[in-house]
Amino acid sequence: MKDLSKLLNEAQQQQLHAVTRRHFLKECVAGIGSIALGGLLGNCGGGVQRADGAFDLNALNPLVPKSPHFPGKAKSVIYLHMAGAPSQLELFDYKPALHKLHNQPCPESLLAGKKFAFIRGVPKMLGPQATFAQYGQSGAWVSDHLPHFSKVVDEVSFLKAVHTDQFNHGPAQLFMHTGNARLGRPSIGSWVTYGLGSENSNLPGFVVLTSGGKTPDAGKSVWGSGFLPSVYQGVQCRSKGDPVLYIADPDGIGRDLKRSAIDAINEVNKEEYKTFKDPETLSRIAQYEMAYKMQVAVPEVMDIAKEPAYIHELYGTQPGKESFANNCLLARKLVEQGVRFVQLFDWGWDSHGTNPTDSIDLGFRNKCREIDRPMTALIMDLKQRGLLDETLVVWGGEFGRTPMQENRDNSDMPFLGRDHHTDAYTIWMAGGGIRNGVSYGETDEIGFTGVSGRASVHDVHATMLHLLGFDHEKFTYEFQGRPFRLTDVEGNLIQAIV
Amino acid sequence: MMFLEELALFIGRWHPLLVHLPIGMLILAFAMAVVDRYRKQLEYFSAIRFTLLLGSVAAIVACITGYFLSRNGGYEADVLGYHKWLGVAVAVISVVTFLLYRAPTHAKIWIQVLRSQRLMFLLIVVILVGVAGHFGGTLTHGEGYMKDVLPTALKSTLGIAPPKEGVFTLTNAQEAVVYQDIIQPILKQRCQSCHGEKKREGGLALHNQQAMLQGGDGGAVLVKGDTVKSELYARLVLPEGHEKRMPPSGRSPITMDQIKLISWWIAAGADFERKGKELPQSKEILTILTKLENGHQEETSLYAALPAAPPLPKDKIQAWQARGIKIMSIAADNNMVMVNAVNYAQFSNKDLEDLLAIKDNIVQLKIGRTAVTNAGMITVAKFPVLHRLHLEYTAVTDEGLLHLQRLKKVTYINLVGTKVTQQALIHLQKIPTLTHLYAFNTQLRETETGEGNSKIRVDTGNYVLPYLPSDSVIF
Repeated sequence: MKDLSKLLNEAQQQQLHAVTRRHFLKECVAGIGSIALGGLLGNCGGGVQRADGAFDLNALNPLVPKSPHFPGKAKSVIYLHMAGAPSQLELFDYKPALHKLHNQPCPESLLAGKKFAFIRGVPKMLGPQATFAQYGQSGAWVSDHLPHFSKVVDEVSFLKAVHTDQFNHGPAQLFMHTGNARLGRPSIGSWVTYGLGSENSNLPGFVVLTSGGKTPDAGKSVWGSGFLPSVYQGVQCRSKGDPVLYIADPDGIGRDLKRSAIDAINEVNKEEYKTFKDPETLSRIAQYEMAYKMQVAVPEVMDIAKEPAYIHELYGTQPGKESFANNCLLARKLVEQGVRFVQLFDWGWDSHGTNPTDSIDLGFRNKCREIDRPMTALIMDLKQRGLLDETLVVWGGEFGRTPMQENRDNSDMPFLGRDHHTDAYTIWMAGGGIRNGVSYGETDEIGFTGVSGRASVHDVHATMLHLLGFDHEKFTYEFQGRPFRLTDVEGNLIQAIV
Repeated sequence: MMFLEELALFIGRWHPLLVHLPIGMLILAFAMAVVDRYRKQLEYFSAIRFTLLLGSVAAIVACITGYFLSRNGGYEADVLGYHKWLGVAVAVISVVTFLLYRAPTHAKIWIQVLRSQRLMFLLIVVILVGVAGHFGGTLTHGEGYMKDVLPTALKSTLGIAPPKEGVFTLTNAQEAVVYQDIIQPILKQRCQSCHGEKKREGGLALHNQQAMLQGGDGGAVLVKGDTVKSELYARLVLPEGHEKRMPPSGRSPITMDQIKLISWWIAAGADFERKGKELPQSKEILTILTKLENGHQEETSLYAALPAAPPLPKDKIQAWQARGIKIMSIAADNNMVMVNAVNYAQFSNKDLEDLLAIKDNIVQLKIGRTAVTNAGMITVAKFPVLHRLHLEYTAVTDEGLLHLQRLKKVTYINLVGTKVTQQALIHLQKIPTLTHLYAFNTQLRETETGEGNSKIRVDTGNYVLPYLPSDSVIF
């Protein structure tokens, strides 16, 4: 109690400071008036329109479920990001003509005016290092690197000619996840949780799972909340050790004591909010509450050991390990529990050919094997549980890879590899209202650039938001005097796949 | 005569430019007259007179050019009528007002009375200018060009509802005349506000067979059997933002299914008489046609065929939310709700009964892993607009499902991990709307009842990914 009154005292002092400042501001009536008017108008324009005041009742909980612009088909998203950028030419974009050009010098016309991350001079073409066949009723091309995945292609729609404008991992990952190559914008998961809230109040709305090893080059900003209140940022959970760092109570601190501590802190914060109306204060209150609930709910949902053996067999999971497979299973469990956005990051896809691990014919194939079974299992498992039609699964990297063999600094590489490529790469989506078995977009004969159905990163975002019930052009957040969008001033819905 | 016709057209085209002159001048005259009236020390009188003179002449010129422009046609007759006569009224009254603004001289008494009211006349002129101008804008930009783009916040304050889209349905798409019953309604909904009987933008009208075959200023729009050469189709699939894409940006877009139907009809020869069954149908077209039959609009407007739901009782919702029962409206400005008890495992049959208070609102009920039982299914059957029902991992058995037969709208039922058996399918098959049934981890094994003809897609799961030798090859 003594501590509490001390805290309250401090809060009161803060308030007094504020009063003197207000006193001054009160003298400038016109100024205050216009500031207030700006605030009012800002409130009218920005943010998500709610259906009913009733859903706003819990102003203290920014994660309370909210309504989209129109009824969305998808209720949650699982985004599988292959950091490092996998080669589309060895997985989905079958280019027989590239075989014939194998080891021949790249025509100058392809190189004119282009800039590559590492390729210098005139590189040689590199034929597809995989065997392709068509699968399913849709006849989708898949390489022999993904033998399991080829069984579910009819659940999937491919975007074969996605393009970006960033050829380095960090900026490209930021672009892919925040719609902008520079730091400071909210990630798509943050936008979605901001717009829809979370259905489960005991779990974070936006969970991030990494396969261990390297974290994305762009750092945690790829799941950051940018200018949105920080309560919408992704919560990174680990599949090894404590799922969330410091989630367990320290020795000697019981649940009750923790509760009263949080109550006291929240009381102070509420006073603070009444005075300053800073939304970050609300975030803080919500986060304390969430953390308290998460202490029970998260270890439960993050524990895959209790899953039956046939599920482990399906996914190829090994409890206690940090792996993409475990994360896929976790993603399904989280979505089942009403988590809105689950972001997975796998790593090691940067196949330049500098060493065996990073080579197209060796390490790359190991990576393919690692994801093939789990991601296929994820689609199957979501389907058999009746979750796939309301869960959007997205798979892709931050850019594609060149049809040319990399020649770093104009010299031959020790292993086969491909450089970063922005003009064309493949992303696939499944579930959540995506059409079954569509292949949209085509690249030229060697897979260098898209010739039809090109889709930009903004288009992909617009389509994802559409499936969740948002018109990407109206889904805005007022910041520094202008309404911001995930798709900035671009993006078109890719109608062919929805 | 040709020359005069062309000259008339040329003169007509000046209307949108010249029409702004009287607007500005008359308003200026009015502004000066008001100042003149209340601040006597200023000497505006001659300026008012001069401005009024110019304004009246400009109004007359605007009327004449407007008349020539209207002769070219392509405008909606009603609106054109209002605009025309209001314009004439402006011209006439402004001339009268000009005559009233004369230096005080001796005149008949009634003229003097009118003169004392001349400010009123000017006010009327200005109001008429505003109204006529608005109709003029409507002619150029289409109905609702201002109202539709009001900021959303203002719209809801003013109580302007977003325009409702008509849904057309068919009883039997195979027996329907494709042009008359399928294509024409689409054209009516999407195209004819600009390319119709009244307004023929680009000389094109699509309201009947003759007009469609005739095409527009740029020639034919319909090439039988060739979608690519048929502008009627080709314009629909241009990239978004393309200048020539139809419907133009700002108008309500045409749906993908509707585009496909148009393409299907053109590809099959754009015949005006034949019935659905007489045209070749791909699987995709068949699906779209079936959707039309069911009265399902395109899936993007999920639940659109439902009547508007009644308002929600705020206090009750608050109480439910506080208990952990999430009530989420499916979209902004929509009272249809999804109910989710993921944070309230104690959810019981009693809670279901409570929810009957909003039974006309609930389209989705997620009560998997809760304490509901068979008895609760009697209550569930009373939700008239329920579309999706989650009962996974509950104690519900075949017996309870028997009650669900009375559900009228349900398309999705999730029974994963329940104790239901093959009998469940026999019960649920009687629900005509049901299309998706999930029965993984149950005793239900067969996806067919043996009676056949079931439209239900049953997913019993148990998927496996057999071990492949390549699974253990490490490179």
